[in-house]
Amino acid sequence: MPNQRSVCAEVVNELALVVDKKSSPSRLLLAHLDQCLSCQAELSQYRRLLRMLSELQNESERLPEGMLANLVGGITRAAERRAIRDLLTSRRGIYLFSIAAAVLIVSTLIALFGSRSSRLSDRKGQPEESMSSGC
Amino acid sequence: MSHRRLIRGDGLNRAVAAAQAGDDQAFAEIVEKTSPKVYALCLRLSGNEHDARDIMQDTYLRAYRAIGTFRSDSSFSTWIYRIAANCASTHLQKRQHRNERALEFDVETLGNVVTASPDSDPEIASESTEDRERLIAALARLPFSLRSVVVLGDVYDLSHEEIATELQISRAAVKVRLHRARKKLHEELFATETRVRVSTGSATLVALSHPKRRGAAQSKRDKSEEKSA
Repeated sequence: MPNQRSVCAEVVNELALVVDKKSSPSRLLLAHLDQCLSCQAELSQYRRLLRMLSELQNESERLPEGMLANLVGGITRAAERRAIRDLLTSRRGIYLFSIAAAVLIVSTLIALFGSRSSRLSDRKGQPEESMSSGC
Repeated sequence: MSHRRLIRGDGLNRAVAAAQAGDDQAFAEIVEKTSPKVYALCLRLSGNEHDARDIMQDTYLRAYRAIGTFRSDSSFSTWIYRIAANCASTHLQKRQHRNERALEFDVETLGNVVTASPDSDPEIASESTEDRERLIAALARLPFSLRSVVVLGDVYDLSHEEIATELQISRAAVKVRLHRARKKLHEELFATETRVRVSTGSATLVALSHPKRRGAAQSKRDKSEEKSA
């Protein structure tokens, strides 16, 4: 039969887990606690520890200077990026993108056509000039 | 009853609803309202201002991107704390991968917190302040793996499942770490009391072993003597 000390050691080891009431203590543990003052004292210490930890939840921290502005600035930049992405992926964005692409293509074609026709007219003009200079 | 009593208020609920509808100004309001408490959590998890700043930035950016996924049937504070826990875990893992040493735990910064409900009795207040400082120092000495679990579970009341998800560990690991962390904290905070109790078996000496309690016990005796006089 285990002696009192080893039972206490086992119980104390288990107390760290069962103290938060999320895990249920065994009947043996409860029976031992009922008659062991030493383990009762340990249990009350664990309860105090949990109370102290829980009280930390009420605390808030003064933000270092400039942190709030940095956080809000980061959010603003993320918002801008999101707005641009939304614009590019939305239907309206696709229309605008298509119109811009069409305008670009047409202007490129016009530029190409314009330069080609001017080169042709240059070539047509050259023999006449050379002939007239030859006479 | 759950003791999640953190970031509350109709104003916050309205801001959350507006931010979910795409109002960026409302999100800035959320940051303003919630950041002092989230910063306290980041400091508790990381232990220093430098890491806490980075974790805060990541937390709010992630929250901004994911605000649409928040369901109002759960607590907003728990939601943002979970994000902060995940960011802290990621941040400190990255630091480990880069083989950078963790920054020193800055107990002074951690002690510089504002208590929402200070005790009205100066004697009790000073005793609780001393207890709190010892607790903060003991938390600081825990490794991140134990500290994160006990802070999220016992301070911020996250469930084992929530902690497991955010720290990317199993539920069994959460239980084991919580057990170890509480035992270590218990050892650090109550070692003197336990030693005296075991060696003498006297309940009176338990109180006498703790200097503050000795003072409290003495003043109690004084008060009862005054009454009887």
